[in-house]
Amino acid sequence: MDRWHIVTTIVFAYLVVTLVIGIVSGRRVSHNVTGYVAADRQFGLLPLYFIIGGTVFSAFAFLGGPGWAYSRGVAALYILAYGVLGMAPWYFVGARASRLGRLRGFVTQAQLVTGRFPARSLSALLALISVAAFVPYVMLQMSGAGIVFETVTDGHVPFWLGAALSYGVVVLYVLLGGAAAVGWTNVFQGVIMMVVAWGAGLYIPRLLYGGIGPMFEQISAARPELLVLPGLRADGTTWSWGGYSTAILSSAIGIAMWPHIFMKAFTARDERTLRRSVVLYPTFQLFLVPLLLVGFAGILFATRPDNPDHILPHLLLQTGMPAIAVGLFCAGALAASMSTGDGLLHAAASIAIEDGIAPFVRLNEQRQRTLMQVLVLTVGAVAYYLAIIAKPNLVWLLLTAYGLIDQIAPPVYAALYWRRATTAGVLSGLMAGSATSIFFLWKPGLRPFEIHEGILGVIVNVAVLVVVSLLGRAQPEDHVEPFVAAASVPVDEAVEAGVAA
Amino acid sequence: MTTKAARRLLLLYLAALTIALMYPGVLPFNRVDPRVLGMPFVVFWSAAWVALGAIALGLLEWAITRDERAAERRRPTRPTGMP
Repeated sequence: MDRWHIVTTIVFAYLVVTLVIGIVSGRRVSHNVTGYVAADRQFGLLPLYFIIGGTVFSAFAFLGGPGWAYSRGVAALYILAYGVLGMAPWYFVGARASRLGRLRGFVTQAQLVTGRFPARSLSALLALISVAAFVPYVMLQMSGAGIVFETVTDGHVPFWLGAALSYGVVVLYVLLGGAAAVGWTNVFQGVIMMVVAWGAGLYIPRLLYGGIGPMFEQISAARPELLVLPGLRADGTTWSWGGYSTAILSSAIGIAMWPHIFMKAFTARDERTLRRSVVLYPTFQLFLVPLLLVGFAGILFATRPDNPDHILPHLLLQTGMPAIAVGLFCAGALAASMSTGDGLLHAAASIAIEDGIAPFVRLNEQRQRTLMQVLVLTVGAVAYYLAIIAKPNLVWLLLTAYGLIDQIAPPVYAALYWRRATTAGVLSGLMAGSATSIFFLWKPGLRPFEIHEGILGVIVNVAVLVVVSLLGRAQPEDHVEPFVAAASVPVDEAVEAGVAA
Repeated sequence: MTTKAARRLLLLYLAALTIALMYPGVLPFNRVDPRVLGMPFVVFWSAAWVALGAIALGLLEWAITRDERAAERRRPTRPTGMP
């Protein structure tokens, strides 16, 4: 039996188990919108821990992370640096969102924002930004899956088939099971990701260099420029400090604002559960360290992959590892891709209906759920078509996405924390910030100090939000007070005090 | 530790991290030696801040949980609707 037979068998076993978990868990929640979008708000600490980790870390962490360390050296540390900075504020923000969701029935981020700033245009704009940012992100996950399949089966399973197989499974369980299926499969996928990352990261340096210490000794002697911040650009020249530092900032602002991650606040059983999943999040994040070690191990390796992002599968194959280990590693990379892709598809459909269509057209619960399922299929098909046919520059697309997602942060913070903010202020800030971000993405040469366009957008966004809000009339107190009060006290006290209305 | 102190500690940690991992705060630590666990110092430095985050968040959660338990004990038992 050839090696690729064994590898493919293991990967198929992984796909089958995932599908079964997805379908079984989806049958246990209620058949309404809260059931489909927020899994009846029933996730406890352990599932939520793996759901958040599995969703945050995508194919980019498994392929792009090692790829960065391999080609750009310690520049890759930015991925390690932003995680906690981005998630720690969620300890407060997520808990407030979770509370408000429970009290007022919110299941999406835009519902939370428009609960405070009632405007259908705001809801539609947030839905538009979300879906526009999701499509390239889903495409990235699909091509990640395709790359893994094609590389490790020596091309016997081509790119298009690998992507179709793995995302066929994803679409099926998202369609049938909604948020519950996404959640419970993420638990399984998250466990695999962690085991595989730590296994590969500790094993490969030992195999190739006799340990982590000797590996860095050799790199330090041969390529010292790779071990000093800010590292290198993709073209091999030295990166700028402005670029490195604002890459950290921009990602930190964006990470918890991604609507598919933010929505997980509404799936938590209670806010204590949500807070604790944030407390434990850094322990998940540390799995980036072994993944980066794999990338470093590739630097002095004899052969080079065609593309730096292929360094992990390349090393797996070229170092002559047992086929079973290769199969498990592939399952890990696929798990990373699918545990993010499923959340994206699910959130794209939920948001498009709940925030883009439901505010304008009256739909009953059954119709909403059916339409969401139609959209899961549509978004999946469109992203697949684009990923296979167009093969666009995905990194560029994902950067656009982050620049836009950053712009959602000021509205969310204003809704929860700033009583004087107005609907006009939030709406104009969001538009100005998004326009700024897109402009500098289009003309990157005009950015001062190579500052990330998302950060430039946020600066404009906040300035416009504050000025327009202060110029206009404040929101009526009987609207603002109950909202902010409900956000700042625990649920049972709010119910007793009657602020839930 | 009081909840207020734990909250301050977390904010202090976030501020320190922002300085310590970005330009120019990271400059003194941007070095290969001394190596820790075989890794260049700057790699260890970045990873250590992640681990510290779990500790800073954990302390606050511990303090908040303690307050919530105390509040639950103080609150009278809720009427159940039954006579």
